[in-house]
Amino acid sequence: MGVMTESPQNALATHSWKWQSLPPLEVFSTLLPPPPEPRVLSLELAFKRPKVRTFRFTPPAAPHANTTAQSIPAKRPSPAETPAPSKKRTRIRPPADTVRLEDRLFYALQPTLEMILSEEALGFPHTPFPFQWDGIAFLVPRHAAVLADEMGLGKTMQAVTAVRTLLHTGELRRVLLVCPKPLITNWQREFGLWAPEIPLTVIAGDKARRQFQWRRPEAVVLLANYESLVRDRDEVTADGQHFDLVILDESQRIKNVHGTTNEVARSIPRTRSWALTGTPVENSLNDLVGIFEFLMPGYLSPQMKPRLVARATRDHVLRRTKDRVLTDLPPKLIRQAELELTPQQREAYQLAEEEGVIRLNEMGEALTIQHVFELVLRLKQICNFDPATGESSKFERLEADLEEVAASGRKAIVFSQWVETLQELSSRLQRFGPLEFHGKIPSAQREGVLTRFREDPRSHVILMSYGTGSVGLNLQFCEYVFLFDRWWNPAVEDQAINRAHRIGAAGPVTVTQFLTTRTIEERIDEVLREKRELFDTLFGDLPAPAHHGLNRQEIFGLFRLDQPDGIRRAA
Amino acid sequence: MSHANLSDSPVLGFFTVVQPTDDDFCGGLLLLNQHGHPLEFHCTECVRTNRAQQLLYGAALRPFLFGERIGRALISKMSVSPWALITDLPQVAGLAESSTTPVLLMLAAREESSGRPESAGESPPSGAFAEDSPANWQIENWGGYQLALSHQQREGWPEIQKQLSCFPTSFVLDEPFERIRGAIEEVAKVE
Repeated sequence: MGVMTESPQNALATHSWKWQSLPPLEVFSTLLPPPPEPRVLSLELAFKRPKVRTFRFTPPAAPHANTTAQSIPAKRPSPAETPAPSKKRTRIRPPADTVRLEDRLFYALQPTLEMILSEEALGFPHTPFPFQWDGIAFLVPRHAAVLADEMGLGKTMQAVTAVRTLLHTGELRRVLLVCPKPLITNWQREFGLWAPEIPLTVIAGDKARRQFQWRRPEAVVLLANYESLVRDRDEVTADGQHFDLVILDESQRIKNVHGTTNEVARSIPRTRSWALTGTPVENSLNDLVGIFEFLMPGYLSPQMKPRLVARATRDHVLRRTKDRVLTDLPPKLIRQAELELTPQQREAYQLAEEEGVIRLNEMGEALTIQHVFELVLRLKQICNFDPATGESSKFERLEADLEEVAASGRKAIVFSQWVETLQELSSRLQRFGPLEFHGKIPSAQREGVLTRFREDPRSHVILMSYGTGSVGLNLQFCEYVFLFDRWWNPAVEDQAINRAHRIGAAGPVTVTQFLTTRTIEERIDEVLREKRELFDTLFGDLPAPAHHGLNRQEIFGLFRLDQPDGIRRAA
Repeated sequence: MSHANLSDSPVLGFFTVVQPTDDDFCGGLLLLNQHGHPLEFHCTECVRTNRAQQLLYGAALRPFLFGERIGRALISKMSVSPWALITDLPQVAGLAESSTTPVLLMLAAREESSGRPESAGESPPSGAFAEDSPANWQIENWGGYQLALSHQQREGWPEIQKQLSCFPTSFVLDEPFERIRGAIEEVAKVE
């Protein structure tokens, strides 16, 4: 580095620099460590290709050739005409015992029931109720099912439509339907109404004819009554005989697991089994066990507690009541007409009861339940009519009520357990145009009786026995039902009432239960109430009742009799 | 795709994605014959998205996931090629533009919206509306529904319409999506 001299005159000229050596600057160096490399957080953003599960299905073949012979030709509207999408979509859910995922998906991926049925332009005479769609969807996927709807909710229509659905999807080819004899015409009518394209073969006639009918390979739906089923058991169970579906209507007919009807029903070669009944339990749990021996042998046992049975059968039994599903159905007004016996009736009643009980007591070890029943029936008959004079407080009341029914142009049904009572009523009620419908009316005439009752404005009352008239008949144009005497179990009474109180009922149905006070009828009424409690335990949400129905002891107890090996005392 | 040609008999495909949780997506593809009966069902395992993916993919997450990952995986498993693939996911426009099978976006039914399916689609969650359809897609009406189809497929609409007419009039286009959702639930129960 240079240094300037101090002479001013030479300041400019003699600028010179002298370089001097300076001591080297001391440099302090510090070695800095390299900055640390930043930590990098790497995020996985890529998506792996997801695994795919694949399920393949074989769709049903074209609709059953045999069943579409008379089908209504489909007309496909143009898209512009296409109606708005249906709001109701009923899915066929897999039954709870369907375990394989492939099978569960098969059901989950099926079209809605409405779509299946509309696909072939299969018409309906009426639009089914939503709960009926649900009932059909319940039946369709099941191999073992009890449709136990309360009477009047259309079990027949639901079964017919479920059969129709399965026939058209090719899942059924041959069906056997068994019902009580009086209901054959009812089923024919219902099939004609709801599935007119399905050919129906009614098993009837002499042996050779029936044999031919059972063996017809082209028969799609065979309709038989329980008697012919038992009679033709060899045909029904013959080699090569097989049904894709067997339906037992009013299946309480097989409630006795040791009965012949139950035995024959169980032996039918079949794939699916359905039972239809409004009264799956009439008397005891054994009734349901009997039905399940047909559906799923060994699944239930009489020793099971009602709650356990309820849980075990939940997925196999569908039970709806009108109160829950038909909020639009006119109300059912039940009134109990408590009547005093006329003096003559009372006198006859007391005499018969006292003598009867004494006689029963005197029988000692020979006393059987049959003897008790005979006395009960005798007393009940006196409650209807005094045997000597024909006096009847019930008749007086019935006659008065029928005056009102006829005056308003309406119609009534009167139920009794005795044909003789019905005939007596018929002779006394002539001015109301009575018609009779009971076991003594030949089957061939019964449909005509119903038609006449429906159409003849002068006929205001039909007199029916519980046995013949309580099931399967549609009499919803009647607004009054009279139970002239009481049946042994409430389910049968309900069935009787529901001939009138069912879908299509035009107005409220008034049910009058005649009950003579201080008689055996009062005591039976108490037992009936207990039976109702059992039913509610199995198919409702009520706690289990203390008693499950009319057992042997209770029958004896109607007269305060102990069983033969016990102490007996008079009432 | 493992399939070769379009099926001779009418086959329709339905594709949707369900979202069981906030982060999970499962795809389902259902092939139906002309009677509405199922022929094939394919479903993916649940694809879980993490927070980073959600943030960094942003708006592209669902289109990528639904179309590129789930959609393609499902389509590759079809053994028969449907006449059209109907979806209720507006996000699969990319799939539509690259697929040889016409992809139709089902928009809201004309009548009312109460019955629309719940899908993993963006707002509104239960079915797409015309304004949600990808830009420049063409809107067509069929059987009470609005269908959107891409530019490339615009010329094919008359043929697609003809093919759709082979299906029953009772066939409602949003119904198969319910089946897919039900089936995915069934699968989830056993996994």
